[in-house]
Amino acid sequence: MSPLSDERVLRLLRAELPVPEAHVAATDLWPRVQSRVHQGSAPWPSAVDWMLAALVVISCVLSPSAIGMLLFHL
Amino acid sequence: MDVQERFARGDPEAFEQLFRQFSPEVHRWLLRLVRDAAAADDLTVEVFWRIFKAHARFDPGRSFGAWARRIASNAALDHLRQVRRARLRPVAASSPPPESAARRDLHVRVERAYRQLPPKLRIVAELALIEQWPHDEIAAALGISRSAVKSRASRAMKYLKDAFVREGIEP
Repeated sequence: MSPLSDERVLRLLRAELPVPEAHVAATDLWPRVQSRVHQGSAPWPSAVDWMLAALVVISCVLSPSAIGMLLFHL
Repeated sequence: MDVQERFARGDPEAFEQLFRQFSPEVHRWLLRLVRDAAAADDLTVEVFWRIFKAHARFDPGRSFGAWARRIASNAALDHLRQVRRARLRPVAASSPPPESAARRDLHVRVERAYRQLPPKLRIVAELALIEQWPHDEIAAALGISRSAVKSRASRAMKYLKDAFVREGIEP
C-alpha cells in the first residue's frame, strides 16, 4: 500500500473534523467560577485553631475521662 | 484606574468584569482545542480560577486576552493528557455525524486517529493543519517558538499518517 500523501491527510482532517462553530457555554459559568474561587481561598486553620486542637488531644491522652465530657459537649 | 489594573490588585468586581468580557472567547478557544463542549465548560471555570490565583503576576500593561489564551492552552493540554487514554467522547455538537454508514465509519476512524495524537501535537495539528493558522500566530498563542510549531506540525502529520494506516484508511 502506498503511503498517504500530506494532501490526503489534510483533506480527511478538514472534511471529517471541521472547525467547531462558535458555541457558547450552555449556562452562565460565573456562579461556578465564584464557587471555585471561594473553595480555593478557604483559609487554613489558624495557629490558635491548631493550638486548641493540640490542647484537646493532650487532655484526652493525659485524662481519658475527659473524652466522655468532650463527647457530651459536642 | 482601569479594569486590568484593578484586577491585578485583586479587585473581585474587576475580575467579574473581565470574566464577562473574555469568557466567551476563552470558551471558544477551549472548544476548538478539546472538541468537547462539556469539557470546554469545565475548563473555562478552571482557567478563570487559575487566572484569579495568578492575578498578582498579571502585568496590566499587557493584553489580558492573550494572557488568558495562554493559560487556557495550558489547561487544555492538561485536560488532553488526562483523557488521552479515556474512552472516545462525542465531538462537539457543531460536527454532526455523516449520513451514510461508510462516511460515518470513515469519520469515526479519522477522529479516533486524531484523538490518539499526543496532546502537544494535537493542539498544533488543530491550529496548523485543520484551521491553517500562520505558524507565528500559533507560536504566540501557545507561548512556544515558531520552529517548535513547525516541528510539531511535521511530527503530527507523520503521526497521523501512521495512525490512518493503522485505522485502515486507504491512500
